[in-house]
Amino acid sequence: MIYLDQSATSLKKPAEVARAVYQALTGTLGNPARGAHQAALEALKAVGRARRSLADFFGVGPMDLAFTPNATYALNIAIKGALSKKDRVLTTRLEHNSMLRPLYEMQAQGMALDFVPLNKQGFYHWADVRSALRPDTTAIAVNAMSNVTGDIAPLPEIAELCFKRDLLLILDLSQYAGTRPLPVMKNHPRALIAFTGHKSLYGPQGSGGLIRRGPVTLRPLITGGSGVLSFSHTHPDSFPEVCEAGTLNVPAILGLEAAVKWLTRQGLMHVQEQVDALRLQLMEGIQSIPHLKVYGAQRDAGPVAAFNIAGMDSGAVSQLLDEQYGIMTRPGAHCAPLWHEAMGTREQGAVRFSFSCFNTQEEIDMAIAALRAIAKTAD
Amino acid sequence: MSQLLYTFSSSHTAMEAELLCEDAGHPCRLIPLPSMISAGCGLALLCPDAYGAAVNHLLTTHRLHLEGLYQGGGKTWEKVCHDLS
Ligand SMILES: Cc1ncc(COP(=O)(O)O)c(C=O)c1O
Repeated sequence: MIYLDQSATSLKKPAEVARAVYQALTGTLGNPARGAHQAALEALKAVGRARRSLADFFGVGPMDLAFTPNATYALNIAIKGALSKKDRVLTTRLEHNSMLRPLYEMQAQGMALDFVPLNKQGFYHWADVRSALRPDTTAIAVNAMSNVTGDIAPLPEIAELCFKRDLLLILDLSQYAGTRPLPVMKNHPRALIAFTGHKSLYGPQGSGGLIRRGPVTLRPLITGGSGVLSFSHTHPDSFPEVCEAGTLNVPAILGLEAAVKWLTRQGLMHVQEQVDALRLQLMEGIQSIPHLKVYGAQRDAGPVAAFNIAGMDSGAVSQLLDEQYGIMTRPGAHCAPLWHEAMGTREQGAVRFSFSCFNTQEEIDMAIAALRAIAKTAD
Repeated sequence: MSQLLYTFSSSHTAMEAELLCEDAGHPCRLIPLPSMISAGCGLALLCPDAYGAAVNHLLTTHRLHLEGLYQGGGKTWEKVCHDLS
């Protein structure tokens, strides 16, 4: 079995992650932020330490990091909690539905929404972002790394633009986080940054978060138990409580903490080099395969690659790979409808390969051989 | 011996305050909020008087939002201030 769908979720996690999740279930941790007995305080402390580890990893203060079940929740909280019908948001056609659908909901309530156009390669230059700005734009919402092609957004330039014009930056780090350090920014704009734990961060499903940078006020999206101000009719709007209604997923959070500690110990750059080499191996291996069209604009993109074989349906190719070669990949639209519309692959979709540091060169060789064999059938 | 009690509107902020004190080696710990002090997150950071200045400094440099600061001991606590800044 060869698993090349790591962008959907990384299959294998470091042993430390599994141990941390197990440890959290062995009977010492109560409900964090509910009560003040030993077990509750133990859980609150464990979450507090995890918050610090994650905040360190992202280079922010611990009180600016809230835990959410995944990036989808974080983006919904950010978009519906920080924006209103008075806003005008600029986004791109590389966004995932977890960014697009909340934005469309806000648009239906009167918020204005503009898009940066894509070029022939299915990407954009940062100058395209600048020219798509309107005088009344108030926020930019971007995916840091395409989940279809791995292409990386021009983050320092976008951040600088947001800083200079005092625009709120809403950033989707779902695919980016764990693949490489965040680029150095000259200035940090006000930002809400969403991440998910179960992809390249190698954490458990059910972990993720929202980072706040600078003064941003949020209305709570989900309200309920917060463990504080119980007699108030409204949920607290202080960070991180505003994002953390209900009991936290402590086992997943502690698993995610173990994952970022593991990543830091390995060295993010080291892991990146390993995974980037696998992608490059694939790209070079498939270059000469006839009928194979590779998508994407950047050579040094993230650990994702998308392609099609002649006019073959991407679902059929993916199924052949799975059933005949034991290689698991993802066909279809990858929740990125606007990219597929721009590339004319709405019907065909695309086959996506995505890698983690637990994949091997042998697996990539086998994948290249399988693609070569399948492409022959298209002759 | 008189002690200080810091209260917070957020349990996560209270815990961050305890972790900061732990890092700095200050003998402070979270306790359930004494019942005469209302509201808050139900937790309070208990510190020996002698560490007041150091703890105040930690909380202000890390911009941890305080709800109240009390002085006393046992069941008697008197509010000293709301805001350290
Ligand atoms: C770019 C992008 N954004 C957001 C998400 C949503 O992540 P999650 O399902 O963990 O919320 C994904 C996941 O596929 C993604 O690739």
